[in-house]
Amino acid sequence: MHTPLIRLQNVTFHYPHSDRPALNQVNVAIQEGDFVLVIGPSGAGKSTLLRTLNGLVPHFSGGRIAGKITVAGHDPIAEGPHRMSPIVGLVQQDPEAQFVVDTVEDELAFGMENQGLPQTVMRKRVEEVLDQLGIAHLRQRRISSLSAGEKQRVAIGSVLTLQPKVLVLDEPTSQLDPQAAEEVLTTLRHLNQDLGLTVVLSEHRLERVVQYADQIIYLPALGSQPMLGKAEEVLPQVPFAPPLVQLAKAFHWQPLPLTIKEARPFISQMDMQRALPRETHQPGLRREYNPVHVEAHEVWFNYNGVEALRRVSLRAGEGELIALMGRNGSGKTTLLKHLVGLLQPKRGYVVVHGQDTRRTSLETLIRYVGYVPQDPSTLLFADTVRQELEFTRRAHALSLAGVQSWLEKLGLTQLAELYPRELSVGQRQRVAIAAILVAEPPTLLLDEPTRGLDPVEKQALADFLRAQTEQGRTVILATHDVELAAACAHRVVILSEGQVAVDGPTREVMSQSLVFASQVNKLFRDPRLLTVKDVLEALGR
Amino acid sequence: MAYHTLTWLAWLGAAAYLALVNQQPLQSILLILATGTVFAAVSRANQPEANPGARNASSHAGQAWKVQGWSAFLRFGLSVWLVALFFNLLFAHAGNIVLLVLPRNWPFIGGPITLEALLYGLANGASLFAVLLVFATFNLGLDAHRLLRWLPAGLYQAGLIVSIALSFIPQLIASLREIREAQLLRGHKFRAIRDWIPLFVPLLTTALERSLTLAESMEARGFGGIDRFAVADSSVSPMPTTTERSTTNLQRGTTLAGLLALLVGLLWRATDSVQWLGLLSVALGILLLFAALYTQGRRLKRTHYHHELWQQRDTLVSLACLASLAITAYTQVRDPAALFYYPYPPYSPWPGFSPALGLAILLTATPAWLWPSLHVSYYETDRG
Repeated sequence: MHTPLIRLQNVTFHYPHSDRPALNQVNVAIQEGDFVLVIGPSGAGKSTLLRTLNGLVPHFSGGRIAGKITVAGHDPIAEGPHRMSPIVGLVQQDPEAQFVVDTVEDELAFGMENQGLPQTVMRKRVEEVLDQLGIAHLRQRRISSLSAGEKQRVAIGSVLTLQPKVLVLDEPTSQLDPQAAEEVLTTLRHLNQDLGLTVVLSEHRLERVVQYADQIIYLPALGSQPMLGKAEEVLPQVPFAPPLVQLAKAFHWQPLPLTIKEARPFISQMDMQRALPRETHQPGLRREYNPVHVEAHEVWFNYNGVEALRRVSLRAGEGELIALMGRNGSGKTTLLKHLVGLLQPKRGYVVVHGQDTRRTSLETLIRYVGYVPQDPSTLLFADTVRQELEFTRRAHALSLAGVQSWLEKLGLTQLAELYPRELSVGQRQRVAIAAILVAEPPTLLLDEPTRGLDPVEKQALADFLRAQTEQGRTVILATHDVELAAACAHRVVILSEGQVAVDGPTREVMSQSLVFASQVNKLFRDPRLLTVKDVLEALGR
Repeated sequence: MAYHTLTWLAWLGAAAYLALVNQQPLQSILLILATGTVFAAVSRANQPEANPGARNASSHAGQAWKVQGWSAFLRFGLSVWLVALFFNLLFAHAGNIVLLVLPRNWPFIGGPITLEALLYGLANGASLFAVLLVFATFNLGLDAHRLLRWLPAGLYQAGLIVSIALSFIPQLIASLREIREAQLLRGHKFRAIRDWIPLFVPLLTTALERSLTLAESMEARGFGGIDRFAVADSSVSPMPTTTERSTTNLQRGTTLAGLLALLVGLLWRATDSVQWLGLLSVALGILLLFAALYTQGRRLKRTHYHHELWQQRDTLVSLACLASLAITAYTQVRDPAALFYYPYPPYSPWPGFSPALGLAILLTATPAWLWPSLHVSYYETDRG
């Protein structure tokens, strides 16, 4: 074994005013050139661990740290983030919030200017990085005009120009659509495999990265001992492993397959055809959902001359769950805003529960339609979770009696007296949903409800939404998350450049698509099998 | 961006000087026309269709938006001009040349309406508008970040922070809109001041979260500069060396002394005793503060990525602007009446016009005349 590039020895860290350690006696060793994946539920200390590598923890965060950290011969605890900046590059979650200047080229140069590098060196490195990341065509663009995937690649570029020994990324794809996320992950793999850069990455959507990881660091909970090892060793112990690994565990496939390709030989040995029901119809799926609660008819809309919706029609019946999918900017949010009456069609019409949105006040419409925005923090302001729910009840002139039952339904009773902003992302999302549903609208719209959720929280959300539809509520969610749609949606509508590209039952749509298909479906390519649950049920387990 | 930053600064010096000292309406109108041509040239260059090199119309959306913003601002300026004009016309009843007489019993506006009042309103509005136009043009023509590079290293950080703070404003407005929508859809009604709490709490917390992310990202890229003395030896020692510490102390001492001298000087001047001693103290304070900034700047090693090329047209425009400045300054000293305007008796109501100043004003239009062909962008010429 060589001397590891990164070594954490007995590192313990407490945030200020906290008695509970965020990191507890952590020992980690990372070899040069490794691709390391840091996984764990949200709030388990992944960000904290990553930030110790360049000294932001404890220099920026405050708090007490003990133990020894070495990164490429440097000690980040002693040297701090400034001096570590040429050694460790950090990319964060939010592609919007990490830029300093306004054009791509200047942003790439920002770190080097701080280091005082000569102009000739800067020019050379900017050219190199533009080429390495394939963003040379963006060089003069304003950052505000880039797509989220492009922004994230520029953020990677802006630290690469310092030629760091380690690239650290804190959930860089959690805010991106699947295609943009793929762009970023492909870039990372290229940097690691072709250029030998050490990459340390935290990520929730395991199915996309797990096959590239040389090592996995699994943090099961805040302050608990991390589990280290190769993907094959660690993943079977992880409760939210990707669908493939779950199947492999159930059927004892050895060695553990990490890609569809590796799993194919195993399924050819299984006699799935015999086991599967003849009926391709999804259980519980009705042909018609009546009465129709939400109808958009040939809706056109533009923002200052840019067409956002072009002749979009959509019908949703009582108890139906529809997943709206499509790239960023394909019109999903615009369509949702039409369905709640926040925007009105330039042509065509929208009718919700018998009310035409052009002729009905917002006040009336929100009695029928609840809307959970993309960012739950735009909603939350009260001192406790309970007050948050009571506020909505009062705004709708409803009695406060219903609050307790909604707290129970969303599993918030334990959190009822806490400050909403201190909760984890997943918990906050639940509070936001509760704050809308507590007004008991018969139709619920959700915009990207899975941002920042870990897989366990995601599964819980899917089950909750499905249960809501069984009580007759109509749910429409805009999402990038294929696995979520596979787990709960009756129907998938794919938007593309403001038009409906596909509209059909989830099983049909997914088995005919490569991008919008769940991992299990990609493996079996059978409309009857979308989730691990489907497979297990088909085989009577 | 067709011109060098220093050229733009020379232009600002000449045009703003004229706009601020001149009161004569004919000259103001000429200045508005001259600056207007420059404004038009800049906004044409900023329009997306003017840039064939741009691959995507949205890449220049920011610039186009900026043009629109300033145009709206100028429309506002024009309406201010009109209001100033009518206000003066209706309320100032002095002057000899009566245009018409409103009935005396009308409150405030009753009485003679004079040509002098009309001219004075017009002149005041024109010089105000000229100032607005000059600064709007400068803002449109020059990116804040390009200007920042010319600040001394000690001031650079402060400047950058201000520019980031300014860039936060549009983001704040966007998130304000988002939050308002979200709360409206939740059934919230905005009636009294108290009802705005659900708006401001999320706004504040979101803004704080964003700024923390940005601060981390800047910190992790070494913002604030790497200490020269510390980088000099490759085995980075966390403890500061003795020289380093003494330099820091010297610098702190200088800053403190400078601030003290400034304070004492200002207090001194307020007490009305020996004036020149107070002035001397203020000057000493400023000098010390600059010295402190300079030494701090030398300690922070910071380089600039962009290298702006000084081209022939920069020389021409700068010379024209310097000439304009010289003429204006000469006029202000030797013939201040050429800049001064007061139509009421005993002065003549008729505006004057000085040919020398006319020339000075026309010289400020040179950036528009020498504007490079739109098909060669600044960056291409920059690379040679």
